[in-house]
Amino acid sequence: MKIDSTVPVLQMQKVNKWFGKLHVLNDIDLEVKKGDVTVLCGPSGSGKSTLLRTANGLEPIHSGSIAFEGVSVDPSHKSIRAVRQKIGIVFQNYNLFPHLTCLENATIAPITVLKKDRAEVRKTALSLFEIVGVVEQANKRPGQLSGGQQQRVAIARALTMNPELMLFDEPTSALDPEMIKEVLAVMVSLARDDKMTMLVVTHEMGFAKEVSNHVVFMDAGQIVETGEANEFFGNPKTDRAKTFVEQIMI
Amino acid sequence: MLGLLFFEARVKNGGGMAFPLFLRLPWGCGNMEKKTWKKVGNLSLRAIAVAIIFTVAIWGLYYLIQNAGYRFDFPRVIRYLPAFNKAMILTLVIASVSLVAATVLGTLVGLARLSSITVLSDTATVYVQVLRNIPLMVIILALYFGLGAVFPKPSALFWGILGLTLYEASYIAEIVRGGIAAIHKEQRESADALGMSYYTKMRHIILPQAFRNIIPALTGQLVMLAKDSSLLMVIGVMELTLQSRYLLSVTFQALEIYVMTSIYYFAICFPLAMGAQYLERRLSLEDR
Repeated sequence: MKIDSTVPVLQMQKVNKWFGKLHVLNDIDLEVKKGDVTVLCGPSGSGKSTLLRTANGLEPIHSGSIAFEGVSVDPSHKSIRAVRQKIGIVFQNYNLFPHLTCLENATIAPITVLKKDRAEVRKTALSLFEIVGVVEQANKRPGQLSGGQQQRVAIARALTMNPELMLFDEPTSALDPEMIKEVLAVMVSLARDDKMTMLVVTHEMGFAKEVSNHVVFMDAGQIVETGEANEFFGNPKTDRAKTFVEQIMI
Repeated sequence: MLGLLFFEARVKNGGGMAFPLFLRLPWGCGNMEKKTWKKVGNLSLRAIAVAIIFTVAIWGLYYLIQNAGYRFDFPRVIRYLPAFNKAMILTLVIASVSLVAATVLGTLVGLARLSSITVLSDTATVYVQVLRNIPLMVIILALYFGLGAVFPKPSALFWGILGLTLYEASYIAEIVRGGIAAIHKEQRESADALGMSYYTKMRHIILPQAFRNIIPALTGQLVMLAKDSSLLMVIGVMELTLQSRYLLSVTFQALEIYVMTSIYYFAICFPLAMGAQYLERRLSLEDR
């Protein structure tokens, strides 16, 4: 299915959400076009992860609208399953299924949800494993893998669904330094070579500078500043962004 | 005197397995292969020790009873082995039918307890609370003499199995509910994020993990179920316990009869418990 490039893949308008009295998302407007790589950053508690999770309906919102390819993202509506099948998400803690092998992790959804042919899905999954470099771990269980390997399996699991949009929720925050590189390399090639549309919550400046089109800076539930990566990290306009950039530079 | 001997051995072993002093042979006098030899030696010694302890205990009890004037007559009871076997088969039928039915029903009720549809979860809660707080024997009596009088067609066996199943299912439901609730929220989110339906999520992601975690509790409950099947005697189902009561009135050898009955129950329940342990170990090893 070809999508009109003028229609944004993801569009959020006036999104508001509260956790009790805490206003976690305050009038958020965000647009992700096809092929865009958008990086969401900000201090912890700024609402960036919550915002990301509203994009596939894991977090319900209280007002405003979210549309994926023109379809409303509403977790209480039946249509949410069809939407989620086209949005891949990678979590901070990988969240692989511990009772299944890595290969089964990657094939279970296409087989049970998309009703695809088992052998075909296995082939696709194995070729993805080859690309992300975990093909030797295919028949192991997630518990036997390092964090970096698990995260790469998690990326492959999301990709076997052939998504239109990939969400990354701090994919490298739980990893040791040397493992961060191997995961980022996979993400960079996904953005560059596959032209994947991505929304990424991360503090990895290098990644943002290398592949992102926009950086969206959030603080206290609001979008404070948006801009191109080099410009944002090199010369932030607002004071809050300045303080933030100084802190992550150290 | 004997007790003192065991006691001392326990202290010398640093509170480990109780070894009779006279069995602690001087293994491992040399340094080489000391450890492996000790292990093998310890294991067989432990087995021998336990065997001796129980032989002595049973032998002592036997003579105590005989000295009090009781005449043991096992051959008289062993003549009735076919009757025991027949009753055991009925016990096995009751236990296995109820085991399958109670596990299925218990899982469904457990799932209902966690449902977001309040009517469903409330109904399940009431079911669990009511069934868990009535004695099983009362449930069986009420079903057979109460409902059985109104609907005379089903047999006592049917009402008995029904009562046992309903009762055990309420316990299994709580075990299943706990097992599912213990699965991390992230697992649900991952399944949801892949667009899985409720059924697919439960069938492939949540339940397989939940069942792994609850195997010890669940099989414990299933052993209870097998033993609780003895309560069906109160409505005249000729299973092991009622059969032994009947044979008692024929032979008047109560001790021998109940020793036999105990052996039969043990032979049913012990493999169940062992199988559970094996399953638990196998599955948990595969997890790591």
